[in-house]
Amino acid sequence: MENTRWLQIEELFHRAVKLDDALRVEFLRHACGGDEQLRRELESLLAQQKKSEQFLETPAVELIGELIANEAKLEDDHRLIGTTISHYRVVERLGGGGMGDVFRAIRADHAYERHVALKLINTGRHSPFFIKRFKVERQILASLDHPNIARLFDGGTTDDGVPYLVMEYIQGEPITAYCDNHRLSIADRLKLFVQVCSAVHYAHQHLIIHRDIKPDNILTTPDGDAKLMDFGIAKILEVDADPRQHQTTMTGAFTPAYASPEQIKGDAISTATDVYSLGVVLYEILTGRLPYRAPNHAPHELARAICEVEPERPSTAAVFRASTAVDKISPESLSACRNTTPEKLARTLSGDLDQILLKALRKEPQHRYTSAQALADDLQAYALGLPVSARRGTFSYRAAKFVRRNKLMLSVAAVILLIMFSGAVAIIREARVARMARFRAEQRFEALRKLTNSMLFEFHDSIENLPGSTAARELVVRRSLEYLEQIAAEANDDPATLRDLAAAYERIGRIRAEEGHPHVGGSFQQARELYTKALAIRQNLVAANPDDVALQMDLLGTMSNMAAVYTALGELDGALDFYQRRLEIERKLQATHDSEELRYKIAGSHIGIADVEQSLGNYASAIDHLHQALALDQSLSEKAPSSLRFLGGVWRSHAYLAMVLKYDKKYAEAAAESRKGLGISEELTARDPNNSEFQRWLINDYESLCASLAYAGSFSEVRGLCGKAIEINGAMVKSDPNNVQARADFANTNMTMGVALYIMRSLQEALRFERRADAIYRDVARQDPDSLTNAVDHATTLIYAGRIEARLHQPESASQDLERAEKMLEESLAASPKNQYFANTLEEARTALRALPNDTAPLAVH
Amino acid sequence: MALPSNHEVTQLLRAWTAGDKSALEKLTPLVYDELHSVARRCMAGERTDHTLQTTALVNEVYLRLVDCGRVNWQDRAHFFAVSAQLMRRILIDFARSRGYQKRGGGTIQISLDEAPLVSCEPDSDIVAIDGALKSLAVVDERKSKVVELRFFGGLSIEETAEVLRVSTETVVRDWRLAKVWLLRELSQET
Repeated sequence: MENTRWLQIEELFHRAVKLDDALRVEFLRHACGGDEQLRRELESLLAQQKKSEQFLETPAVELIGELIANEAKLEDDHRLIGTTISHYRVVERLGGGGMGDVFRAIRADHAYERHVALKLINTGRHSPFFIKRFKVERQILASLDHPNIARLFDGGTTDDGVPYLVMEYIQGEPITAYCDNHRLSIADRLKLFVQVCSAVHYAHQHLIIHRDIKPDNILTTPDGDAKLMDFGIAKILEVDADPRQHQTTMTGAFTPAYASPEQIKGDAISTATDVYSLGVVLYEILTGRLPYRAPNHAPHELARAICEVEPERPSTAAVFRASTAVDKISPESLSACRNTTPEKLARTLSGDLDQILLKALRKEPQHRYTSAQALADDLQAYALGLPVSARRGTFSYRAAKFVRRNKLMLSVAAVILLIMFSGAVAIIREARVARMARFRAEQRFEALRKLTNSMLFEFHDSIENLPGSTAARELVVRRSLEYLEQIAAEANDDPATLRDLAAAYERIGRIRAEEGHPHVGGSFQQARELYTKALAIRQNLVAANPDDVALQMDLLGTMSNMAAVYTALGELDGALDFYQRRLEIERKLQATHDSEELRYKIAGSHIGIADVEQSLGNYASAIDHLHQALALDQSLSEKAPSSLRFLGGVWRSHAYLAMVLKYDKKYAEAAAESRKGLGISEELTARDPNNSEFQRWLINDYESLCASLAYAGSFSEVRGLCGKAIEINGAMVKSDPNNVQARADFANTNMTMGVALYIMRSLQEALRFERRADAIYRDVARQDPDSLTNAVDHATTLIYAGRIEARLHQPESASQDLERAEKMLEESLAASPKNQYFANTLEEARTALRALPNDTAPLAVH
Repeated sequence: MALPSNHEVTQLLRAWTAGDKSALEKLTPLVYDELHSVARRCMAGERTDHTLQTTALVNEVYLRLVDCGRVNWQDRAHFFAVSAQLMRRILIDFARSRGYQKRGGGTIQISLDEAPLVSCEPDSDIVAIDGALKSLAVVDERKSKVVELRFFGGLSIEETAEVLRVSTETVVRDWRLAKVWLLRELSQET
């Protein structure tokens, strides 16, 4: 081609390519004049424009690289067959997946041959850090022991440094294929699926989230047992140098079709993530379809649908979705697989099952089932013909929404309650009539218990944080009590019902205690009355059934609730008495029925005693009890290293010790305890970054370490530690503005930062933090006006602010702050006259006031 | 296999650019092995971020092969140009040896069920592209260079502009036209 011709083509191409189709035709006709050849040349080039956008954009080396890598992997796989890894002889390759390759292997050094699945994790980073985390995860996963979870037997690293896991070898097919191949009815499918839920729930109780639940990971054996595979493996894969980054570095560790919105968006993962994936799997098991219509399953289409589109009603999807490239099976044949017809299938699915699935598939994690067990419960309720919570849930959810929109219409809540309770009345009456039909009666009683539960928890909790819902909540609690009394009258000394009744009294008592309003309506007093009733029932039950350990354990729980409510009421002698009596019973019980649970409770009693002792100013005794608790907790945790509960116990002892040692002015020892606690709380938050309780622990440790170091005069880490505490705490407040506790914590953190800076002589800066703490406490007090703890902490903040101001030569604002503190402390002490801590703090406020206008005394600390 | 010293590779590269054909024969297995090990590590590891992967792959191979301190190339640009050329030769040889050609043995294609690791058009047949690129060189030498640097060398628009001593605007225009030209060429072949 001639050079000038080519230049002409180039010039016209670049001008034409910018134009839209219609203009382009016009442009070409005009520009080419009669030169047909030129026009055809340009048109043929422009015709490729759309296709060319992605063309060659992936460098060749990358395309080849993948092929090379695949080849290399296949070679490796082949080399592995016949070799021995640890005690396992590799027999054949079973398959490969996102995380690595799986082989069938045989445990070689035993008399009998045991087949196992050996999984190589050859996608992870094999840094020493990875290997260390891998070991930790492995130990935790190995502790999962459930009939529906494939066991993890062993693991390690190969000679080449590749980590591997040895798991139970399951011969089975994916749950969806199993259901279809065996033509299981909807009822049988549900039964099978409930097994899966219970396995997932079990793992959740061990704080392990699956993150990649899909039919391929749920194999069903020829005997009809579902087995969950690869629990927690997704987590191992995403282990990263920075444990705080877990949830954001996980792209690709899940399967898009079964992923939840939060996984797609890279948001925080929780147990609700698994509930969502369970929902997708159940959707597929029941309907043969996936919840979203995505014409060709293009990943971005699917991702958008998961995040934005409401899933189609299962009853509609199964029967009315036309066959497409994705939904190949016709409604007729998928119904046949379920031993039914399209009409009957639609009828079966519509109503309860639709609602159950839609609830599991809610976009917002907090609106899904609260647990896999709750999902299973609903499926079982459906199977028994009982009402399902998904419908009740939407009802109270909608009601709550409605109340939120119409604060004036709170009476609506009362109406809803009336409807619910009239149902309850009918049930009670029926139960009375049907006493001879014992089975039926039991079922109905069960339903009533559930209803009472649902009122006390679901409904109460759903309206709890609504402004102006106090009256409705009051009604819920009062009515629940009335029903409980009725049940008690019906109970006729039936131990099981009495036990439930005691539990219900305790629950209502706890609601009262949580409301914690010593002045308004005397809720702590009411809590004590309720606990007293529960205690009486429990004591009678124990007396009548002296060999029933479970009843004794219940009693211990009630006693510590009692002690806690005495503490809250400021009656410290009473609290101490209950804790000591509890400890006595525990020691007696230990002689005959020693158990881990009991030891854990004994440690709890020591902590309780220590808590009261330190309030009374008896630091030596408190520290002694805390050391006893720590020794127990440590031995429990050593024997069961994967138990987060026991590890939490160890943390609690360290944290308490740090606090009391600090009060006792033993700062170096306090700092050492804080560091031990910090080791645990950092580990726990890394394991479960969304657990707000663990976050609170972490904040507590940073803060107390920061304070102890500041008092001890070693300043180098102080700012950094407090900064961390403020950062985490600030994020918590931001994510949940209604959480009063988080805000009170946040105020406290700011106060500590101020004190630390004060000790470091950055007076102006310190004052800024104290002012901030003051503002937050004021805000907290508006929402929660009767908390003594918050009041005293607030007063402490004001004392610090006042003393800093005195040193900054601002005597007027100093005396204002100190007088406010004095007044608040006087009130608190009046409510809890024996509290030594309150008394000490009040004395401090008065000393500071007397020292005005020139406070030069060294900072008194407590 | 004993790792080649960086020095040795640098020598071979220099000899090859000076016209020593036997140098290429010695270079190819060295580069291939290096590519092999780097690719394996990349595939095993950072599969979540494939842009990072590309850069890592190309840069690591270069960096590990060439002792930059000893390179007394006229400039960085020349080094890139030579590397891209070398990479082109080696990749084509590799693809040819494995039969990754039209319909013969599996074209490079990524299933949609898997997470899309590499976005890749199904029919990017590297050997055919190489052939079409040779035809393009006859029509417009510079545009074929742009493709060589971008596709085989993995260079960015800016780096390509630097090597060819033209503006980025020119590279963008060349790249756009070269791609449609090549696509048309490839579609005419079938």
